[in-house]
Amino acid sequence: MFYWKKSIAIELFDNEFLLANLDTGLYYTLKGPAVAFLSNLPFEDFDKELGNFIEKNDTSKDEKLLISNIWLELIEQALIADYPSRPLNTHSFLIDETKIAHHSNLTTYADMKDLLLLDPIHEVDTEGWPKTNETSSAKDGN
Amino acid sequence: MVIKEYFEDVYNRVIDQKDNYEKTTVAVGEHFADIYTSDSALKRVFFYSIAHLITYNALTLSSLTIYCITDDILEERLKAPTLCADELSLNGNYNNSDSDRYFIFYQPWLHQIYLYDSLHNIAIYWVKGINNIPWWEPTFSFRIIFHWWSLKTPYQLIHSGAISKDGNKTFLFPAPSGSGKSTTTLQLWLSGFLYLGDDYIMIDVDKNIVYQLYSTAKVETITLEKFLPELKEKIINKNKLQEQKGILHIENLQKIYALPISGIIIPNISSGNYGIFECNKSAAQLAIAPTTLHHLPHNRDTSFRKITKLVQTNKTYIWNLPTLRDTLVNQFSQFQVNE
Repeated sequence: MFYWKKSIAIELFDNEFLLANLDTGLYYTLKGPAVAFLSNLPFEDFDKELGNFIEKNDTSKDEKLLISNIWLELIEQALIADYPSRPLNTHSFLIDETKIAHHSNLTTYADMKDLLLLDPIHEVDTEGWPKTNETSSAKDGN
Repeated sequence: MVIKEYFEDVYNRVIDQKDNYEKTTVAVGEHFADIYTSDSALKRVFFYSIAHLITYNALTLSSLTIYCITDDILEERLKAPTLCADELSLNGNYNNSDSDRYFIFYQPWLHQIYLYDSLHNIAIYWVKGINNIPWWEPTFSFRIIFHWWSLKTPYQLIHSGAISKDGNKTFLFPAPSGSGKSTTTLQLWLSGFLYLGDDYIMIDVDKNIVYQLYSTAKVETITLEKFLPELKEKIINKNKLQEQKGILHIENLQKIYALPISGIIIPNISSGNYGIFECNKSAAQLAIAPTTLHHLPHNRDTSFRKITKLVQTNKTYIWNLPTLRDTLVNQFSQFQVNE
């Protein structure tokens, strides 16, 4: 059964999803019919669920392709997981389908990624503190 | 590493010297924190950004205790915590799987460490010596400790500026570094608006109130030259601008502990279409959450929920910033009148 991974924070703002992977610092916004489709999570069979969604909403082939690609990207990014049993806690969203964008779009925000990949491992002295003091050379501090 | 054992070891050694500390009480939101410093030089460094929060009311009941010490006060030098690389995630956030009571913030490339016992609200900031204090740390003194303490409260520190016209209309200016946040906040302050903060402010997400926290601002040299030339002489680290941002102390800060929030405005460096426009709430969430949660990495899910509540409660705008200060001030003044 597919559902949003537990470690992912999801919020609905103005009929758009904002997804945050709080472990990696990657953020995503999701717009369009894909929002309505993915609000049906959890479900077991992606193809069957998408088929029903397309038929019910009279969605175009292009849009079907967009949703399929977004689905693959969400799996690739480990935002959605496939677990053998139904999760205890699931998300519930109230979406106004008349106000969602016409086309599905997933945007990734990775502004923080470089900062998150800082290498923290340094040579240390006998007390465990770093041998070189870099505090004055680093232009950090937000 | 078991954080509990490390905390208790450090705490016992800190408490052994309790007669040698100076106590200062500061207001943090509607609460108070007792801060014990091990020497006057250390106190001077860490209190210039929070001096306006000091209270001399002997009847205050503090809900947070902070020990701020150097190695000089301890009988034996403090050893670094032993860490496994896979336990240290992100920027100093340690996966304290052994307990959700104790917190540690440790960046192994620095000679400083933060520790916290969330059951008794006791925090320790240790730095090897005065010269080992990273230049940015005293510009938002004890930020990580205030964050830990706030986790069980409706408070949330956020990376944002805040400005008010007269106390009635107060707006937050959240944005990542380099997007015009400090420039906008400081230009409005120089034009007579009330300054609540430039870098980190504290929000009560239940009451939708912003609290003043720090009286410092940090700006890039190029920003000073271009937009804030009258502040160049007031920079307190003039001889270190090659490695550091310029640090300003906001003088004569009005003591405005708390003001209701009127909205969230995201500054945006733009080449046209200048003005303040309503925008999607997800843009505001993206302006606040990534940088805030990067700087304050513990219990991100709790903070994310609080930030969401803040964003859902308030109107959100984007401000395509004009380059001329007069235009900027006029746009903001007009916007406040119309809102």
